[in-house]
Amino acid sequence: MSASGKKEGQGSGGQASGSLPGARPPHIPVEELSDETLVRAISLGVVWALEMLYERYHRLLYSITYRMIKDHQVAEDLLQEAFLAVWQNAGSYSSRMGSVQNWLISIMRHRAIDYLRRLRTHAELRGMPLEDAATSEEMVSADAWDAVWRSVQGAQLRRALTLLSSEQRLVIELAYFEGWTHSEIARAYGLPLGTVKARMRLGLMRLRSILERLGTVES
Amino acid sequence: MNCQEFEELSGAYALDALTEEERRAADEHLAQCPKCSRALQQLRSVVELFPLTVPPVEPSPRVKERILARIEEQAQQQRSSQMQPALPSQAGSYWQQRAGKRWRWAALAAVAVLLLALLGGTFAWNISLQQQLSHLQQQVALLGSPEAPVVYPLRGTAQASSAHGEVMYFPRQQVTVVVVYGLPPLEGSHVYQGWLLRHQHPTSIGLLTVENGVATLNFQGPLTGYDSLAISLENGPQPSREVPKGPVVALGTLINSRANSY
Ligand SMILES: [Zn+2]
Repeated sequence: MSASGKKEGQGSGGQASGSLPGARPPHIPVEELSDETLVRAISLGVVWALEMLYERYHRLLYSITYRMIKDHQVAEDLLQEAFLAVWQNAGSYSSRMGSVQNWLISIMRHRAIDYLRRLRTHAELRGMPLEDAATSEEMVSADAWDAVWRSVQGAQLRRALTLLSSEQRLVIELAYFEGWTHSEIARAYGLPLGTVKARMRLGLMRLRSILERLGTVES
Repeated sequence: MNCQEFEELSGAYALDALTEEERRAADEHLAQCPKCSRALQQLRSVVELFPLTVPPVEPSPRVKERILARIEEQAQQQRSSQMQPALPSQAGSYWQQRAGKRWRWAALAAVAVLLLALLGGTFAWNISLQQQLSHLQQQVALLGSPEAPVVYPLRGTAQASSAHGEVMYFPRQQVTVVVVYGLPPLEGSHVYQGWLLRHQHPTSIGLLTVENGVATLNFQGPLTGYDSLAISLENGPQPSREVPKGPVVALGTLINSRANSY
């Protein structure tokens, strides 16, 4: 007792309470724990880590899902399924797979895509007229967007999308937001498969070069 | 699939517009072609920005409740499907119950390995044993990995017998996270304060943040050399200096971590 008391007196004279020898308090707020740490903790069964990850990403994931599904009931069910999948499969995440955010988006999107594809299995595929797609501007209208989401990147991407041909924008939108496969698009619009694939690839490459010019992505 | 074939469908790949079979074929090619992987990454980095263009929508708060309820349900099922209660289930946290289960799995898997060795591999082992073995391998990989957190249980004292929680140290991030459930609600300016103890000599690690009944505290640095971690109830609002002035409500021993907690 006296030995340790002496040692303590030596080391911490004048220091504020809360300092920890050999460590650096104060404290990382729990909000600043990295996504990876949270996923790690989830894989070990720590419930609050899942709650925290939910707080961070539910809005983003739900917005993507709702944009794809357009039905709150179904979108909420899918969001729930996705987080339960995260709870069960967090151990399979590795940083080699990319960021946690993109991992979550991928889990979420695949669920939404599966749902949409099942839904279409029996329904007849009918293409919307190109003119409608060109004027619907769902992806490029800025009115509805919350100020929070008007990140520079988002705004620049929306701008870049307006610079694509309507044909390229249509196939990209159908694939990403409606979950259509390239062959479904080809069938619905009576296009050769090669044309659909080329529009997707060239459309994305065009977007990339526009975003590189704007400095949104690194070249 | 060759490089040209992959290139043709790389846009569809990046947009998730391939069928299962096409995707599998593409993945096989990607696994052995760095050039196409790099080209794909270029397209992907664009696709990854698409979520930014989506109008934000908030789901009902019920979704979160349902998720947490389902997790609790699963945990209950796991508990009731256990062959024998190894830990008193009321006193232990969810974590500890999982830990108890893991330990039994490890024992079962060890028996399976022994049987296999004895029977020279001709033993027709069943699927569940295989699963247990692979689970064990995961556990071992986890324990062996430098990222595996070291976890110590925290228990409520007589002052707060329903309290329980964990101290987790993440070696790679060098962060210690303290989580305590079931502490009595705070009154007035009262606060919960964390302390590390070395030979009963306390060092403050600061105040816990209480939210939705869960108290948390994080700090950077290892726990090396400390015997235990204590949570005390202080008058607040400022942290007490030098030593706890109020009662200790939860306590955890920081020794024998892995043997105890897995
Ligand atoms: Zn290739």
